[in-house]
Amino acid sequence: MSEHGVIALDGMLVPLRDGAVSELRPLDLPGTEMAPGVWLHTDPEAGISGQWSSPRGRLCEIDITVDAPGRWLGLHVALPPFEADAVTWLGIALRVHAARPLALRPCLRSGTDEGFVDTFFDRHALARTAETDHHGVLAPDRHPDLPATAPWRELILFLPSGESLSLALHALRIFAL
Amino acid sequence: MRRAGLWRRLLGRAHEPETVSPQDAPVSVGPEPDPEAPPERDPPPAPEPLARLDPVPPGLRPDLVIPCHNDAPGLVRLLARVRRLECFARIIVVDDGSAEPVEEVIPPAPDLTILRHDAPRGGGIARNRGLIEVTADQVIFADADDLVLPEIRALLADLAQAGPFDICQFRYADSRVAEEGLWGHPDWDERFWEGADHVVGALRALPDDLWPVLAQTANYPWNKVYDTAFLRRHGIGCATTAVHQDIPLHWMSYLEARRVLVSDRVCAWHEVRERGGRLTNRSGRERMEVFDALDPVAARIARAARPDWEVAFADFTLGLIDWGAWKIAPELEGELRTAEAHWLTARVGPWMDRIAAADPGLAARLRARMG
Repeated sequence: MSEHGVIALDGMLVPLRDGAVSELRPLDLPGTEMAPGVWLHTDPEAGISGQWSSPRGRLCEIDITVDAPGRWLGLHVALPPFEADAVTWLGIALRVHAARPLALRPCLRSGTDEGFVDTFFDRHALARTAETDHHGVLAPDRHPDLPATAPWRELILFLPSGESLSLALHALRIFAL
Repeated sequence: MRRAGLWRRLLGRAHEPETVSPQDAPVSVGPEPDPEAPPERDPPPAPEPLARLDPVPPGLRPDLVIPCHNDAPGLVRLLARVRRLECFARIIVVDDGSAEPVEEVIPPAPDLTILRHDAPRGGGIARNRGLIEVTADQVIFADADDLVLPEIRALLADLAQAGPFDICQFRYADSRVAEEGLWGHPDWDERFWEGADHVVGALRALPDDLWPVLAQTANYPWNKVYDTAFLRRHGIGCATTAVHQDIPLHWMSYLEARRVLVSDRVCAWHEVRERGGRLTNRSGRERMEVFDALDPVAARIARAARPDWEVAFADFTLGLIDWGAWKIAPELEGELRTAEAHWLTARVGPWMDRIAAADPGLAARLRARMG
């Protein structure tokens, strides 16, 4: 197990944390690069439009109008390489609010030779109309299917893909212990 | 005379006055100092904090007006927080007849102006007095027992790039909501934000057809950034009543505005105490003055003759008087209801045809209350 204490894994979010994109921008479909290594991916078969921005002091605001539901919609954050069996917990902490209550499903995606493996955190995060804090951990040794090594990994926040939504992600920290 | 004991209680030892009178000098109870002993070393410097507040981003620098009546601890807490934010041009404290003058509690500072009423005259008059002193282009009000939160820095930076505006309403956090483990304002305000279709958004211009919706939120003075010249040009200020002084400031600002901005940023903390001397806890005959506070707004809406404003203000008024009836002493409730019937008949009665066309349910409730 790691003897390094807390290891920050969210370096890709720094540009958004610094408010790099304050003006509203339309979504590029099916993938919007919000910062290097940070993407909003939508199902190409979905009928979706929307816009996003990264206001000062928060990571992003996302407005999405769904005309035809898709199979997925997720915010992907590339993680630096780490050996899963060398950490006790992979953790996230986030602050969020939304125009209507939404369930967000955090997931660790690990690349494999065949594609990828998704490992979901045990608890979803609930976005409410008031700002809400959420924290959760994923213990790799409790998930035998989670690859110990992977050529790439992402933290994904899956959003509801079948309804229009408006969401502000104030903060997201990703860490290993 | 400064009161060193109170200083110590409120500000801690680090802020004590440097001069100590002979009778206050510490008494030595230990052995005499050894003249051969090496001199005492200076204490080591404090370590750098591992986490620090970011420098304040460039933005508007409004004046902050704080009325205060017998709440030195709250004022000290608020000033300590506000100073760390470094985003106000000047802080204007209006001491509304505190038994212990604020000047005896708060050390002078270049950015601080303290005004005083020798006798309490009410929060509305105190805010108006502070507003006269404002020299910045924008002004924010705060109550001594509430707090300004760090998100105000981001909002002021955004506002500097948003173009001219008359008011910008932001969100607040309420201690009653926090007690339930949540963060933000109560549900009764949330429904108006949802009605105005603005739950998410760091800063937006609010379309004017939604102004009557958001105007129905609680009429607090401290959840907005006001353009100073706008307030002065239209003679907008607080009522001089004993209660509900903020109704004209809030409603007249919306009614006279040409551009209203809204922000979902939570920039103020509202501390609610169910007991004590706050205005919200008053139960005497002064509650009848609610109608004096409503009058100028009703007159302004009558001139506008716009059904959306008539509906919004009439609905707000019914809710406000119901709240007052809950607060007022039971023996005065009948008198309050009689006054309500007279006021509604005189002020809202002429709007009834338009209200009935726009909102029949509200019209029915109004007729029942008019008697």
